[in-house]
Order: sequence, then structure tokens, then C-alpha cells
Amino acid sequence: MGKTVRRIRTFFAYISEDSPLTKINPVTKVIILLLINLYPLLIDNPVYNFIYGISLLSMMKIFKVEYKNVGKYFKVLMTLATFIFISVTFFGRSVAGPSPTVIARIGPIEVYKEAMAFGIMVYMRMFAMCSAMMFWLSSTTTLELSVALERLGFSYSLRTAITMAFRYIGMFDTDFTIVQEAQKARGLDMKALPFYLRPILFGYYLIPLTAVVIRKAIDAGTTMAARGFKGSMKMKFIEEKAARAKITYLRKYHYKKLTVPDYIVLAILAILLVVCLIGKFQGWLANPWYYTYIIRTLIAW
Amino acid sequence: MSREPVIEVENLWWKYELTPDWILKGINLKIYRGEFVVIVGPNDSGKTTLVQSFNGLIPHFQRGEMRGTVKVLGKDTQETEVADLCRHVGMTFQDPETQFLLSTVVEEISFGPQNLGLPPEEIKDRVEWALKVTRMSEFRKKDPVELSGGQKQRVALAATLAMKPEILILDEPTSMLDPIGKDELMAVLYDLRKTSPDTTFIIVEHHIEELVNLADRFILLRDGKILRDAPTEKFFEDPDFLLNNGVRVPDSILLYKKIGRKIGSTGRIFLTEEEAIKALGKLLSERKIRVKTPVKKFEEYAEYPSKIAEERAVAIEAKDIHYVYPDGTYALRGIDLKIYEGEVVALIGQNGSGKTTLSKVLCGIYKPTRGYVKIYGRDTRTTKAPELATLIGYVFQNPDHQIFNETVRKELEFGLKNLLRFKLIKPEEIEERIKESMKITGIPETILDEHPFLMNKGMRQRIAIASILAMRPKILIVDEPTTGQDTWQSIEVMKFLERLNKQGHTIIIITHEMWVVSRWAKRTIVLAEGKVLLDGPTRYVMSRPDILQKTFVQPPQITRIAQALNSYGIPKNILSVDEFVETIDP
Repeated sequence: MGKTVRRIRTFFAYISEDSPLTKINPVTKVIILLLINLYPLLIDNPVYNFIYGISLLSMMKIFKVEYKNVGKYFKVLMTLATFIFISVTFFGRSVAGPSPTVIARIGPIEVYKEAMAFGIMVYMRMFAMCSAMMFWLSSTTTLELSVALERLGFSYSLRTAITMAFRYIGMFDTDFTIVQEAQKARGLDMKALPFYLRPILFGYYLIPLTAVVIRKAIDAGTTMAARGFKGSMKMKFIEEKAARAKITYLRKYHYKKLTVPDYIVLAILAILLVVCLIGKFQGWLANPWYYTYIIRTLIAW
Repeated sequence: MSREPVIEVENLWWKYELTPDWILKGINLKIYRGEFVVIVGPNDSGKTTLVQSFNGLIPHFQRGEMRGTVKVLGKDTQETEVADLCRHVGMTFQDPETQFLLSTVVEEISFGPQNLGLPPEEIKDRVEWALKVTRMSEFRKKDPVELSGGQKQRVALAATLAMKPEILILDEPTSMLDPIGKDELMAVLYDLRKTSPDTTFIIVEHHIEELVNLADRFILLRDGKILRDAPTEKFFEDPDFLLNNGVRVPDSILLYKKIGRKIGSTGRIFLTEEEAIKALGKLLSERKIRVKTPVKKFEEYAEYPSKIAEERAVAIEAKDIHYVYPDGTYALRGIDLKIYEGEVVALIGQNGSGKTTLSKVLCGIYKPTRGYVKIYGRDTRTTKAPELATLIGYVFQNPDHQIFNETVRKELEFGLKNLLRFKLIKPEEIEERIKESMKITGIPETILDEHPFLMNKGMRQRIAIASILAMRPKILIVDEPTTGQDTWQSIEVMKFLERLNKQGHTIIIITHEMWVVSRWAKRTIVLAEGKVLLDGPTRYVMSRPDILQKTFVQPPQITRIAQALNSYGIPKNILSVDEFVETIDP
């Protein structure tokens, strides 16, 4: 029998303990979160965003991050994105620019080339951002976020609130799965439904999920109050630089310094950011099929 | 024990902001240092509200109107902040999972002491102490949500204990636990009681069988009033009064009441199983009572499976089912079973044994990784969800997960519209089916346009069942129908399922409640580690405690008493107090 590698629970899934991502400093991970979500906003070219999204999903496989859970959310998010894409394509006169090119007419509806290009751009941007978020949530633990926020100087109450909010994403995932199963038990099979009906029926997720989330939030709030938490409190524990005498288990995180892998990751992220910023203003990353590209080219000329 | 009161309640009235009625109606109560008090009563009687007034959540956190006073260690709770009171009063709640705020056991336990602003060294000491007394030291690095039910509840308890409260309140701590989880928690409470004699314990609970041994005093609350407040033995002197007020009295006490009538006074009431065994053993050995021999009905069960197989159609056929979750967890490992039309089957086993997974595979929500399931001959792997829904229905444990619409009517229509989309029913059938399911479940027409989330839990559960029944499935799987319900509600739900069974439905119940199994299920399937450990008539299954123990399940208390007295000739497969009494010949 081969050696069993322990898996670590992340916000969204599991990551293998021997994954290189587990060696990265929590502070670096927070910087990763911010930047990998920023790049798609700087990139207008849908092809680049598509490549970016695919690269991140591939990295999940490479870095031994469980990715099966991701598919479920992608189905929902991409169906919603598709709905947005269709509505922009067919009813997107306002985003089509001053003199749009009509490529088709369906009754009274005109389909513009620029609106379609805009729709594709939005669609791919969403895909890239979803991939980025899935990648981060699937490879980061609550403890890492908590420790990183403490290192970055966040107050105790704010740190607790942010960590709990992220933690609830995982719990939301469990509830989402149960609701999906409950719908299936009542004969609702999304896969067997016509494509146009799916976004409408996603509304049925909202009622039970909202109710469950409200109840859980009330329970968590009651527990926090019962354990003496006050939103505005100043903690002696933090003020006394608790890192010096912290609980053994947390110590390794608190004393962890940035290491070579962290510097490599940060350097890559910085280079990508510079490339994206230059590309954004030089037009390399523009959407070649959308009018802003044409306008920018004209201005540059 | 010192008689210093730690909690003094004087003429306490409370009503929540959005409810018209008073929840607590003139409560007067004193609880003394070092007491172990158990508060019982039906749901909505005000138990949780009362204990929330002890740590200041009422009136500071919950909104409403309060009259009267509550003093904790001499401090008026209306004038003292929750953050101050929680230094003295610790509280854990019913569902351990919703209480977890952080990602490791250690962080979770250190949360309270951190909020108290204690020095780091003391936090560390307290965390280590709480881990030790709750026997959770080896799980310190684990994520609390990944633990078993009993372990979760112990973490919640440790998180409260680390604040070193003088008064410890546990609100329905065992309601979500399997029998082993309950035992684990009780063992911790037993240790704490011995090692911290000055700590005051207040437990709100429906399952009091295990607490009778520990408690000094019981309080019965109903409709916001204290109906009885007495030391443990005195409290149980009149079991009929308690039964009439929704308290599930332990079998040993009911047995005392019935045997006592039959054989005259036996001295002290049988508060616990051990006391019953000792007293009855003495009477049997001295031949003051005799056992009737042999009682025919306790031998009949052996014929049951073959008899059923000859008479009835196969409703569910499962062959070599394996199920592996996407994360690689093996949940089911080769299950073969046949369930026949019209059976009432209980699925039991410890948390994580595969009960819920098996049920979801049986009704087609999950497709088996290997093997197949056929529902009336239809393979679940190839049958579409709407078609399966007309054959087999699954009622989830939490009704809130299965209410998708903003009115009761739309909720009842939901499944039917899915069937309509696939042309499995005609549009004109919808109204008829809604009416039919409402009639069966007792849902009044007046609430059809109301929001389901405004109903109480019992009604929400009925709505969930009704919306499944509207699709007229022949088989119904119900997951933990009695969890969080009081005795009356549990009996009501089970009688309702019994009626459905009499109308021809096959019923499968997943449960931890052995009294429910012994009273309503004809057949019991015991699961352990994804395999069938035992499958047979309930009477037979309950007579095998050696096998049940492997999956940390215990027979009901009366069966355990009978089994301990088996050497005197008491049948070891007795399932009720009445059956026990039948075997005795005074």
C-alpha cells in the first residue's frame, strides 16, 4: 500500500498536505487573493482571460488541490454568465458604441457586432474571476487567512468578522448541496431541463439558502455574544503581542517568515501586475473586437 | 452542598418583539451553587428563553419586553452586560455546528478566553485544561466541522468550559447525537460533576434517561410556567403527570410504576436501569415474582423475513452497492438488500455509518459507484429524476433545506410542476393532488397563501412531507423525523407515518432514537462502516446487543433491563414496558 498523504480542509475543498501551496506564507496568500482577482479586470481580451482562467484551473490539478467541487459552482455561475451574455448580445444597444455594426436582425431585435464582443468580454472576465476565486478558496484555510490578517495589522474584531465570513462559504457549500439534492428528490433535474429555463429555476435555490443562512447567522451571533465577543472590543491578548506566547499550534504560523518560494510567487505576481498595467494602457490586452480598442487605436494614432 | 443561591428569578415575564404572547409567565426560581438542575417540558414551553435570561442574552441580545428580575450571583441581568455575565455563566447550544466560529479546535476553545482579555499564558492553560476534561486533546488541530457528532458537542462544551464559568448551561446538548455521542458527553459531565463540585449545571433536555443519574433536581416547564420543581426522586413519583405534560419518562421508572402495582411495594423507585436490574434481580432470585414461560410472541419473529418475501412485491432491490464520494471517501462498501412493499424499516447505526448515503442512493439522488438499485424494477441509474420522484420520495432532516417557494400552495405545486414538465401528470391533476396531500398531512387550507417559513418546525416538516406525497410516491424515506421534536411531536410524526404505511406506503426511517425503532419499525437494518451489519425483524435485531455494540448502538432501556435479567428467564427481545410486565407472574 502506498503512503497516505493527509489532506487539509480549505474554505471550499481539500488540499494535499504535500502541495507546494501549503508551504506559502499566509500573508503571501492574501496578496495572491487580491492580485489574481485584479488581473482579469485589467484584461479586456477575452482570449487572454480564457487562457488565464484555464491556467488557474490547471494549477489546481498540478498543485494537488481538490477540484471536483468546483464544477458544481461553475455550472451555476456559467449558466448565469451565459444568461448575461445572451441578454447583452440581443439587447445590448447601450454598450454597442456610437455607430455599431449590425450583423443580424431577428424581428425587431438587432444584433450588433460590438455588443456581442462586449458580451464575450464580460463572459470571459467572469470565467477568469470565478476560476481565480475557486483556486484561492480551494487552496486556503481559515487559519491561514486569520493569521495573515493579524500579521497585516487588522483589529481583532475585524479579523474575526472577515474570517467567519469566509468560513461560511464552506458551510454555504454544504447547504447548497443539500438544497440541490432536495430539489432532485422533488423531481427537478436541471440537466434534463431546456437551457433557457435553468437561470429562472436557480431562483429556487435562494429561498432555502437565505433562510438557512439567516438562521445560522443568528446562531453564530448568539454564540459570539455568549462567549463574550463585542464588535468594538480592544483585546489585551492582541495588544500584548500574543505571538510571543501564543498557543503552540499557532506559533509556527506567527513566527513564519517569508521564504524563497514566497519571494518567487510575489515576484511573479508583481511582474504580471506590471505587464497587465502596461498592457492595459498600451492596448495589448484590449478586446480586438470591441469599439474601445478601435477608439484607443485612433487616439494613439 | 452550600445553599447559596447563584440564580434568583422573581416574577419573570418575557415576550419577543414580534410575538403577541408572553413566552414566560411569572417564573419564580432559585438555583443554588453546585446544583445539577435539569429543565424539561414540551417544545415552545419557554425552556431556552428561560436559560437565555440567565446569561443576559435576554434582554440584551434578544429583543422583547421583560418584567420581573433575574439576578445572577447577585447581579441584576438587566443592568449587567452579557460580556460581563458570560464570565460567570457559560452556555452551549443545541446544534454544535452552528456554534463553531473558527477553524481548529484550539482556536475555537481559545475564542472565549481571548474575549475575556486574559493573558496569553492563562489562555493556553485554560485551553489545555478544557481539552483534557472533555477528552479532546488528540483532536486539537482538527477542524471542528470534521469531527463526529459527539466530538463536536464536546468541543462546544470545551469552548464554554475554557471560560471557567461558575454556572454551566447546556441547551439540548444530546439532541443531535447518536447513542455513543450521548454516552461520551454524559461521561464528561459525570467527570466534571465530580471534579468541580462548586459548578452549577443547568441542562435543558428531552432525553432525560441518562441525566436521572446525575441530576439533583428537575424542573418541568409548560406554557411559560413552572408546573413542577422537585428533587429527582420526588419529581418522578407521578409519571402519569409527567407523561401528560409531554415528558418522556425513562422506561425504568414506568416499569417501577407498573410492576409496583402488580407486586406491591418494592421500596425505592427505579430511577436508573441499574437500580431496576438490582431490585428485580433480587425479587426474581427470592421468587417473590416469577416469569411466565414461554411467551409465544417472543419466538415468532424468526419466521418474519421469509413470510414477507413470499407475500409481497419487491419495492427496492439493491445489489452490491458501493458509493465513493467525489473527495474519495468510501461511504458504502457492497450492500445487498431487498425491501418489500408495505414494510416499515428502520435504518440505524452511528453517525457516519452510511445511513443517509444509502438512503440517497436508494432514491436515486446519488448514483451508485458500483452495483445497482431498482425501484419496482426501474434502475435508478437510467431513470430520470421526475420519474423516480413518482416512485420514491425522500424527506430531508431539516425542512428548511427543502422549502423553495414563498407560499405553501406553490410549495405543494413545486414537485407536481416538475412532473408536468415531463408530461408525467396532466395539469388538471395538480389541484386534486394538492388537496389530497393536504388532507393526509392535516395542513389547513387557511395557510395556503402564507409563507412556509412563518410556520413552526412541525408544520414546516408537514409541508415538506406533503409536497413529497403530492407526487404519490409508493416509498417514503424520512431522515431523522423526531430530531429536535418533543415527545408529543415525535409521537405525532410517527403516528402519521404509521397511517401512511396503513394506506400502502413503504416507509424507511433513519433514526438514532431506539424507542422509535422498537415501537414502530417491524424491520431494522443496522449499518456500520458502509456495510450491513445486521438486518432482520426489530425484535431480533434488538436481541443482539453484542452486534449492536460494534456500531455503538444500544437497544432501548427496557430491552437492556430484560437482557440483564435473561438468566432468570426474562426474554431478551422485549421491546416495551408493557411486554415486560406481561412476562411477570406475581
